[in-house]
Amino acid sequence: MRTTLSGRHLMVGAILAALAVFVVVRALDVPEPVRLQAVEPADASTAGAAPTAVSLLFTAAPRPTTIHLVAVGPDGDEVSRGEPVVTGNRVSVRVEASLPGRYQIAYHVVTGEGKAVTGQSAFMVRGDSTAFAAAPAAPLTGADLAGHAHMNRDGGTLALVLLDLVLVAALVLIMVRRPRVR
Amino acid sequence: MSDKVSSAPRLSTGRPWSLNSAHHRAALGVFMVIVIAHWAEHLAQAYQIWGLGWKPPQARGVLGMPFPWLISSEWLHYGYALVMLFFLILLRPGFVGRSRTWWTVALAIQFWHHIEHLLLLLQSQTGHFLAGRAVPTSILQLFLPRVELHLFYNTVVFIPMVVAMYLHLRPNRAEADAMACSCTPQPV
Repeated sequence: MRTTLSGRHLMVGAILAALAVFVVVRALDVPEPVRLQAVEPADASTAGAAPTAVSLLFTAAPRPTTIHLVAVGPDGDEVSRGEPVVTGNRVSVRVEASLPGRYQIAYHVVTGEGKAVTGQSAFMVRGDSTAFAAAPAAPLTGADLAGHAHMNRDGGTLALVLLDLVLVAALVLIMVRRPRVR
Repeated sequence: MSDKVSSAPRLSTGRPWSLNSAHHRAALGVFMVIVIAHWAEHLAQAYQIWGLGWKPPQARGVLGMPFPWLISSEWLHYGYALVMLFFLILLRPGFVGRSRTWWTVALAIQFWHHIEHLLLLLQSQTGHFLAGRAVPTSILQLFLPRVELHLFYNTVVFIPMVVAMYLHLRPNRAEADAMACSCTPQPV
């Protein structure tokens, strides 16, 4: 049986072909994902004096949508000050650290691609007057790349969750029972 | 004396697919399943944090375990805000009386919630952040920096929604008389 292609068929075919080409081109054009390259001061490094900032160095501009970057001193107090700052490939936060000892850095960054980078790092400060020279930035190993959670462990969040639990239970009860006049 | 409430609902409103008349109950059911599924994810997250002792970044609910990018996606949050807004507008004509007032309150809050998500999405796409912040920031976060934004907004929208649903499915006699949808109480 002979079939003919109408203008509509040709139009649909052309649109589908264009879509297929677009998808293939986009798939081949995916840029290299942004990765965490180093933490400064480097993990397990030792410095003569405390740094004035801690930084995360990425392979490209991370364009973060979420940043948590904190440093904690040997006495357990937070020593990071102010909001983290993004400059090119670097995410930094200012620190005020005067005590010698072990400092810990915790970070959680969601890049513009939606990838979460989470982990911890630590460095030592000896406490002499030698100017701080950060150790060469070493690639971070063992970074936890777990995903981001939109929930914190605090009293306010727990209260909201409990309220929502009650509301969900109430809604289910309302929905499953027959409507009636009160 | 005739019981006005027991009369058959007036099921012809001329709306598309009778969503606010013959199929209002079913449409509300579909919407509520979406809403409850969303809450189930957050309640699962809460259980992972407080029940199982997981750290917050590891607590990703149910779908977030195999698909971790899901809960950090601004597109997903904006998409859910749009779905909520869509259903709140679409199904509003079926509500009458007090339930309509509460549904409208939920709609108004959700409209603002959607604007906030649009702001966050635009900031995440452009890399330009509100008030010189280092991350996308909502208007509310300028005043309450530590608020758990997603949970807070969804809760303040959910409260009037549940009240509206209760009043819609448990109307008083006058409201039942005014109802023209399949949620109208039927005689026992």
